[in-house]
Amino acid sequence: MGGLSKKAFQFDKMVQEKQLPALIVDGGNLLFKQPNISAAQKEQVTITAKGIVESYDAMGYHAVGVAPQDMALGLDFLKGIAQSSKFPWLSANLYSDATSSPIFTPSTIVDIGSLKIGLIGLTGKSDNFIKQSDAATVKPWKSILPDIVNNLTAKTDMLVLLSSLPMPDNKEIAKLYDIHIIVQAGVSTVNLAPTPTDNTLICQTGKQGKYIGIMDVSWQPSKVWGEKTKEKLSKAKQNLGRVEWQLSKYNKGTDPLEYLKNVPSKLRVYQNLLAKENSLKAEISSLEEKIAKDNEVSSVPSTFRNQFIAMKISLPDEPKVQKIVEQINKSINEAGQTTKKAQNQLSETYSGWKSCQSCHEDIFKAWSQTPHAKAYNTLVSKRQQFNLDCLQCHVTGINKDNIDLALNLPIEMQNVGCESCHGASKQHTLTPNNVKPMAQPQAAICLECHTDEHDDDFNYDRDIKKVHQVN
Amino acid sequence: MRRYLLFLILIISMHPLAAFAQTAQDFLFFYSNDVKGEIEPCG
Repeated sequence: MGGLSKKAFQFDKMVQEKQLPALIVDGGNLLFKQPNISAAQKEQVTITAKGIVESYDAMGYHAVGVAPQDMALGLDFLKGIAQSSKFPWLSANLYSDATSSPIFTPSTIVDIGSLKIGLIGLTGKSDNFIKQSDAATVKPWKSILPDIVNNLTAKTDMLVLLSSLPMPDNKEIAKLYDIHIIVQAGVSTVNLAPTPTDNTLICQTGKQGKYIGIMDVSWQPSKVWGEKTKEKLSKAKQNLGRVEWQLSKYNKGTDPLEYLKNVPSKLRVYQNLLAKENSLKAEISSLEEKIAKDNEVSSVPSTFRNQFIAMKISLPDEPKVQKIVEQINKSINEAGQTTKKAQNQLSETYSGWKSCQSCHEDIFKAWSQTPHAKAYNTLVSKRQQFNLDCLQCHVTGINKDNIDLALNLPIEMQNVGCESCHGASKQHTLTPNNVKPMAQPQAAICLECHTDEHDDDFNYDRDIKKVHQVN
Repeated sequence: MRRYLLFLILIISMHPLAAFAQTAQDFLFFYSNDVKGEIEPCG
């Protein structure tokens, strides 16, 4: 799942359907898959990062928060990216030591319909990403945020924070300041539906662009998020009706507290019902009062409706962004093709599938019919056989620690060969009776490539039988 | 009198606070995070 062009299509579709203005933001950790990028990956990762920015420009993003992993290629690289982006990268607390001022734009104000919306960025702890030579510091938000919020509150109708701070900090910010929405990054891998903390909605989408979050907002001059008061009142009245009906069964002409006092268990039930009745009457009274007050314009609460849309492969693509993505892939493959290749060292421990064939002809024939035997060719057909991101799971003997060897593999190491599952077998080919490879791989080996991201339907017990004949 | 009222309206509309919305505004809020370099689905 995931996909920039599918995201772009959904944005356009919703805007056309609803005929409403749209505010589009990203909480950060946008550009890089991993916190550490090897020299071999740098060129391809740079192409991807620049392409993502081009796509976000095309989609009309209003702002992106600077989050720690966005600095995986260094602070200077990110500064260059920020300069070339049409949207601002926001961070109010990433400071230059030399100038004692923010390196990126701290905040911005955008016009959405008749609203002025203030957008603020706060960057989380970035010790692993900021080098000493960067001469930069992530300042504590408590020393930075108050002035910015005061300044923006006077000029705007609504405040949105893009934060890569930990969740407890975001909750504290929600309690202290009148910030209306916090989009958080780097906190969790799952969708978090907007969760009210005081007058702030804290939200996030799941990892790696697999979902987009869309809120249908009705923002009122009260600047207060409201509950659906009338629905709550109706529900409370229904519950009161049920409780009163249960209480009516105890009315036998005499005071139930008298005739139940010798039956403690039933007395307790009756007393609980009485307490519940009082509680519901108080709630109803409070809700009716609130509804009466809400009829004044200035007290009408703001409301929202949230949904998460999964970016499935089956969703349509927006043509302009799709073209950008195709160009990214083309450029990545061309870069991989022309990169100076590292000398292949894998032959010291790996023998390749051709060696296995000589003794295990039947199993080899069965394997040849499986997708594992065609994995590299799949990349060739998509012109991605030099894409380091894809190669790890489409060839033998490559992982994130030796990725620089992936561009120079002999034929017998292309495709997901025997040794991908049974382990490096050079020694086995030399002394077959003394050294035996693993007979059947455990699920953990399969799951290194058959992740949720690439194969969300994977079932080890079912799918192991498809690889080749299992004895 | 009419001139006075027109003048009053003009002054009020020029006040900074008048720039803020006094009526409801519906809009769509699209948000994402932690995209981490994902450009298209695999497979």
